Amino acid sequence: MNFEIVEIEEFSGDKAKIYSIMLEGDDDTLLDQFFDENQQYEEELEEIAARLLAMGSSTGCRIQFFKEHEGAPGDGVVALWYKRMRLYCLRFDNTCIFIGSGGYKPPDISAYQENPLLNAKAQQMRTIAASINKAIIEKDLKVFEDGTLEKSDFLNLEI
Amino acid sequence: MTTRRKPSKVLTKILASIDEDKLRRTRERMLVACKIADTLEVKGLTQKEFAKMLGKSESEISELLSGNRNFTFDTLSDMAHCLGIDLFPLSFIPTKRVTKEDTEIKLSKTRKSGIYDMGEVYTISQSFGAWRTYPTSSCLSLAI
Repeated sequence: MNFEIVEIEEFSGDKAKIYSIMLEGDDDTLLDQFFDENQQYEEELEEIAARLLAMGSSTGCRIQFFKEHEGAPGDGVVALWYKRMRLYCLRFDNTCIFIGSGGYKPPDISAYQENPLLNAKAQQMRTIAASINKAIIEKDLKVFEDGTLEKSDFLNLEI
Repeated sequence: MTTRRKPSKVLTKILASIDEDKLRRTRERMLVACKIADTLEVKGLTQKEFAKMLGKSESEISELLSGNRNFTFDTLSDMAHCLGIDLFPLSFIPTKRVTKEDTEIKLSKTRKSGIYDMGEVYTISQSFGAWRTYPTSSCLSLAI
């Protein structure tokens, strides 16, 4: 299945560009779906939204704001978190992140692998990250210092 | 980039309803966390070492640095003291003191100009946007 990278203009700013993923056939991004699927957790969603706004406009996407090692070693998959809410992302650097989806981590589990729904979201992000990282290595996708992207005509993102 | 995205209604509603105070608090909490993290890096301190200095656990420090935790003022003060940094410039209250020469007041032609040695002399200080006066001894200051 192909996917494309979409800039989330609500959050992008001078300090960082915030992107999400739109799967083939969808008309919303994984980030939009995350908000829709978890709308009962208002407080957590509000905090995550406020933090993304701050990252875009003020602080950048510094690694300290994320939980690391959520994916394969060195693939850049991290989690933005507040209380028990997890939002999986591919963090490229301080100026660029690609946001996937996530969900609520029940209190009775210690690792996302123990929850099928959360595990599926994390695995999805890992697969997406592998595709994006491959495109960057093969120079079909370029990330500039300010977080803006340049895609080659040969860019083909799929999972 | 695509233009066919339909933003989430939940996201749109949340962004419309977040108040400025909430945004400011979140942003400043994260900015303080950035400053502390930068200082740790400059000083070559690990989170573990910093936690030990503060008498806190590593996980508490990690949470503080993630911008998730609402610091108490005492914790902020302790962290700043440990690291030798100024998180808030409370120690600096700008004060204007005028020289002896500047106290010369030029009077009308009928009167001789001179320095006024005022019985009660005040130093003018600006504190948090409001002008205040404080008694000062043995100096000549321009009093308003």
